[in-house]
Amino acid sequence: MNKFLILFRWEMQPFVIPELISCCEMFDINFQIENKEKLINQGIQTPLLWINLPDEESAIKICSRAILIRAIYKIFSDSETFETLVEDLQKKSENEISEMMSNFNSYRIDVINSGKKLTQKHTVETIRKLSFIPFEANHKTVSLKNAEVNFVLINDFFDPEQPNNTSARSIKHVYFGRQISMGQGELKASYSLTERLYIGNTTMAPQLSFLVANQALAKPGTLIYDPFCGTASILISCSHFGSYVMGSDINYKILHAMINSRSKNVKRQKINLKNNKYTQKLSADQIPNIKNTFDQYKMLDRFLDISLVDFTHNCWRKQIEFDAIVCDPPYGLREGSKQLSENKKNLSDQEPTVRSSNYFPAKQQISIPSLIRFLIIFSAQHLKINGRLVFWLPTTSHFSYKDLPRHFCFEILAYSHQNITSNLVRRLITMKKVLDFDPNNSKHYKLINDIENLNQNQMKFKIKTKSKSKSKSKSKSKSKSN
Amino acid sequence: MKLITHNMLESRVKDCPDDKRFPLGINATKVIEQKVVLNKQFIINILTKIDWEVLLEAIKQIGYNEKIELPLEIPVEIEKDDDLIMKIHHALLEIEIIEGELICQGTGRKFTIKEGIANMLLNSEELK
Ligand SMILES: C[S@@+](CC[C@H](N)C(=O)[O-])C[C@H]1O[C@@H](n2cnc3c(N)ncnc32)[C@H](O)[C@@H]1O
Repeated sequence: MNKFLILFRWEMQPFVIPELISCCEMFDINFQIENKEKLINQGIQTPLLWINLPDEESAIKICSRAILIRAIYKIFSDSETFETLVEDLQKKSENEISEMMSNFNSYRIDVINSGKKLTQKHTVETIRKLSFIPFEANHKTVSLKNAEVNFVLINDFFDPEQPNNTSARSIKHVYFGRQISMGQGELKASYSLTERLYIGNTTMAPQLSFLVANQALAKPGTLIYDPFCGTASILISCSHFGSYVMGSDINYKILHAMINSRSKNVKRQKINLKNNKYTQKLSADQIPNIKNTFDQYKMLDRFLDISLVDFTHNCWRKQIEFDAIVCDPPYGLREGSKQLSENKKNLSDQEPTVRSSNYFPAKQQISIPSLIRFLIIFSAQHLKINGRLVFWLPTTSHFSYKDLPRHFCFEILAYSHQNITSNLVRRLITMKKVLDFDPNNSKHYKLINDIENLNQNQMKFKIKTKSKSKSKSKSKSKSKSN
Repeated sequence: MKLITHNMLESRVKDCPDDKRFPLGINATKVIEQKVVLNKQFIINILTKIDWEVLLEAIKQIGYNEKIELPLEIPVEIEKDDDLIMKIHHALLEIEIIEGELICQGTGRKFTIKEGIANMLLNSEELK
C-alpha cells in the first residue's frame, strides 16, 4: 500500500465519502482510510484526506470517475508550518531526492491554499523559497504550460470552527508533493445546461446527475434505467461513463420535446442555442429533443430507448433486470407526481394522429410514500443482485437514518444530504440489492418500516397544498444551490 | 423503439388474458438502423433474459428476416461465436422502429410508436 493525499471539492461535502467508496468499488480497488466508519457517518471535516492505495494506477482510476475530487497527490513531505516543511525537505536523503526527480523532464510548482485566499505575491514568494530543491541540478526545466509533472505546495488553512470567517484562519498544515491525477470536476462545464440542446425545468444540474451516475456504478456494458427520465439528464451522465441507458416517463410533451417554452430555463437555452455551433449544423428535422441531445454529446451509440410509461402501471416483463435504477422521482416540488387516474374519465380514447392533437390520459396524484414503496419493490424485482437503486428524496432537517425506507432485499449504502432551504434537505439514497426477490414471500411486497407514517416533519412533500408561486421559488433556490 | 425493448415489454391492458400479455405484435412503418457500441459480455448476459423465439418473430414482423439470419436456437457455446454475437447485437440494439404500433395479442389494443417512442400509456378503463 502507498499513501496518497486527496484534495476534495468542499461544496458537496456529504457526498464526498460515498463517491470515493463507489469509485473504489467500480475498479475493485482495495483502499484504507483512517476512521472510515466515522467518515462514512459524519462526512469529512476538512477537504484533505490521506488514503492508502495499492499503487498510482489506482489513484488515476479513481480520478477518472470522481466529480468531487480535485486531485490526488503523492506527498514527499508534510509538516505543521512552512519553515519546518522546508527543514524536512532539506534533510531528504539522496535516494528520496532521486525518487522525487524520476520520470520527467519538465515541471511546474503550484501553490494551493485550502480554506483561505492569499495573494499572487505570496504564491510567488513561496515558490521562490522552494528554489533550494535541486530541480536544476537534476536537469529539470520549468514549463508553465506543458509541464509533465505538477509539484504542489498545499497550505491547509481549513478550520471547521471558523466556517465563515476565512481571514481569521491560521495555517494548520503544509504539504509538498506531486500531483498524480485530477478529478472530473470539469464535467460540470462540458455538460453545462446552457449549452445543452434539450432541457426542461426538471433537468438536473450536471454535477448532481454525475453524482447519481457514480453511485449507480455506471460503466460500459451495464444497462441503467430511469423510470422518471424527463429530459434524461441523469441518463446522460450514466451514458457518459459508458452505460447503455433506457428511460421512461408519463409526460408525452417532455418525451416528444413539446414542453412549454415559457419556462425560464428553456427560454435561456433557446437564446444560447442561437449562438451554438452545434445547432448551426443541424438540419431542419433535428429539433432539440432527447435523442439529439445524446447525439450532441456523441453518445447515441449508448442510448437505447425512451418510452411513455406510467411507472405505477408499468409494463416491464417480470424477467427483465437492470444493473442500476436511477431517478429523481416526482415529488411535486417541480413536477407533480402523477398516475393515470382510475376513476376520472379520460380526456380522449383516441390515439393522436397528428402531432398537435395528442393523447393525454387523465392523471391523478399519488402519495409520495406510496411512490417510494412502489419504486423500491419494483427495484427489488428488476435489479440484478448487487445492482443499485439510486434516487433523490426530499426531506426536512428532522429526517434521520431511522426514517430511511428499508426493504429485505436491500442494504442502504449512502444517504448524503444537500441543504436546499433552511428546512428542505434533499437526500441522495443509494441502496444495493443483496437478496433475490422472492415472489412467494409477502414480506417482499412491503417495506420494513412503514414510511406511510412519516409525516411532514420528516419528509417535505408538498403535493396538493402548495401554491404555484411557492413551487417556483423552490426550484429557483434549487438551481442556485446546484 | 429497439427490439431489445420490445422483448422487455408486455401488455398491461385489464382485459388481456395473462398468457397473451407477451409478446406484443409489431406493425412497423418506418425502421432505421443506428450504430450502437458492441459489448460482448452485455449481449451474452442479456441473452439469459431475452425470449429468443420472440426476437426471431419480431425480426420477421419488421421484415428483416432476410437481412439478419439467426439460428432457431441460441448455440450452447455462444461466447465463441463472435459473428453471431455481432448479429444478435445488431438485431437487439441497432434496429429501431421509428413509426408503427405494438399490438396487444389479447385485446387488439394498439400502442403507437412515434418518433421512436412507444406510447404504453393506458386509458383509465384499461387499468387493472
Ligand atoms: C423530478 S422529474 C425528473 C426529471 C428528470 N431527471 C429530467 O432530467 O428531466 C419527475 C418526472 O417524473 C414524471 N412522472 C410523474 N409521474 C409519473 C409516473 N406515474 N410515471 C412515470 N413518470 C412520471 C414527470 O413527468 C417528470 O418528468
